[in-house]
Amino acid sequence: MSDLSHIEALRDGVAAWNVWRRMNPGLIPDLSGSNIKVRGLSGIDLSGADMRGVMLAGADLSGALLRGADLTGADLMEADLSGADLSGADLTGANLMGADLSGADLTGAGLDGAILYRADLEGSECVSRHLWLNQIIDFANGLGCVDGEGEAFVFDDMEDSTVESSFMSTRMLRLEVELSDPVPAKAIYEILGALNRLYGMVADQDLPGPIIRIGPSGEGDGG
Amino acid sequence: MNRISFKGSSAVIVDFAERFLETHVIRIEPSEEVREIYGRELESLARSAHVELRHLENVMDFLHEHGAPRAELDELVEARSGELADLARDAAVLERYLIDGTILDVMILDDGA
Repeated sequence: MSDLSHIEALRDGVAAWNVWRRMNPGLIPDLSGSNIKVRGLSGIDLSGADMRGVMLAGADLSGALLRGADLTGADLMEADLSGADLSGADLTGANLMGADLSGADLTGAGLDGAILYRADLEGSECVSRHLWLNQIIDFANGLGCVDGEGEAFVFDDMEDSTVESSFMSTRMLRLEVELSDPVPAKAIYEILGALNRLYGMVADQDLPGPIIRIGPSGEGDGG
Repeated sequence: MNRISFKGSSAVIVDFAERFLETHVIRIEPSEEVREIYGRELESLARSAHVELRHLENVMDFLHEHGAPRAELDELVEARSGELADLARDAAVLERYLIDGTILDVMILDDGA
């Protein structure tokens, strides 16, 4: 559980807290499991802090130093984390729904299972890939990144992050399966059925889902 | 020549093609997690439904890899509805048509981001 003296220290304000941290460089703040009522925490130094399960929904954490903090399961719904340093932070399972992460540094952050529905990630250092943000992906062990504009953003350098296991895509790809000519109708139906059923099992999670067509080669090559 | 076309996110499309649209000399090994959690059930299902274990494992691993919730996977294995065995048969169908040349080629094309 959290250290009450650390929570008390937060009530003295960000400036006093940051001075306190500088005077106690070896101390790791323990705010785990606490419901922090203080909302104005812009620029606060919480680097390396134990913040597992902390409740900070709606808090102003803009520009905060959260480098290496353990935010596993934290409730940061609609928190302002713009420009925050979250590099190396563990955000596994954190609720970041509607959080403002614009310009945040998420390099190396663990985001497995984090909920990023409607989170704003524009300009953040997140992942070296496009994110398809026009769909909601929010389920167990998944990661959702959503933006109302439905735009794909490009982020830089997050090679060591755990984001790799989530359901983002660098781009849309088309899979072309060429069949022999002539091909028995039975074979077409069996192949199409097999492809549909197998792919369909993950189609709900995939974006935007399969588009299947069948016809002579050369058709629809415009893409 | 006929063509079937799918479109989807790169992560799924690439993995799907590698798993189900290539002839595999070396068996695709499922993740430790899938083997650990479902290994016994899959072996049992393979025997009872007369499907190859490697196809069952491949299907389960594919679903696991691409985010099917644990509860759904549990249900798929435990329900014995036949759906999982059918999916394994689908994988076998694709393999058969790859081997006999009905599926001539598989290409992955970039439609642009």
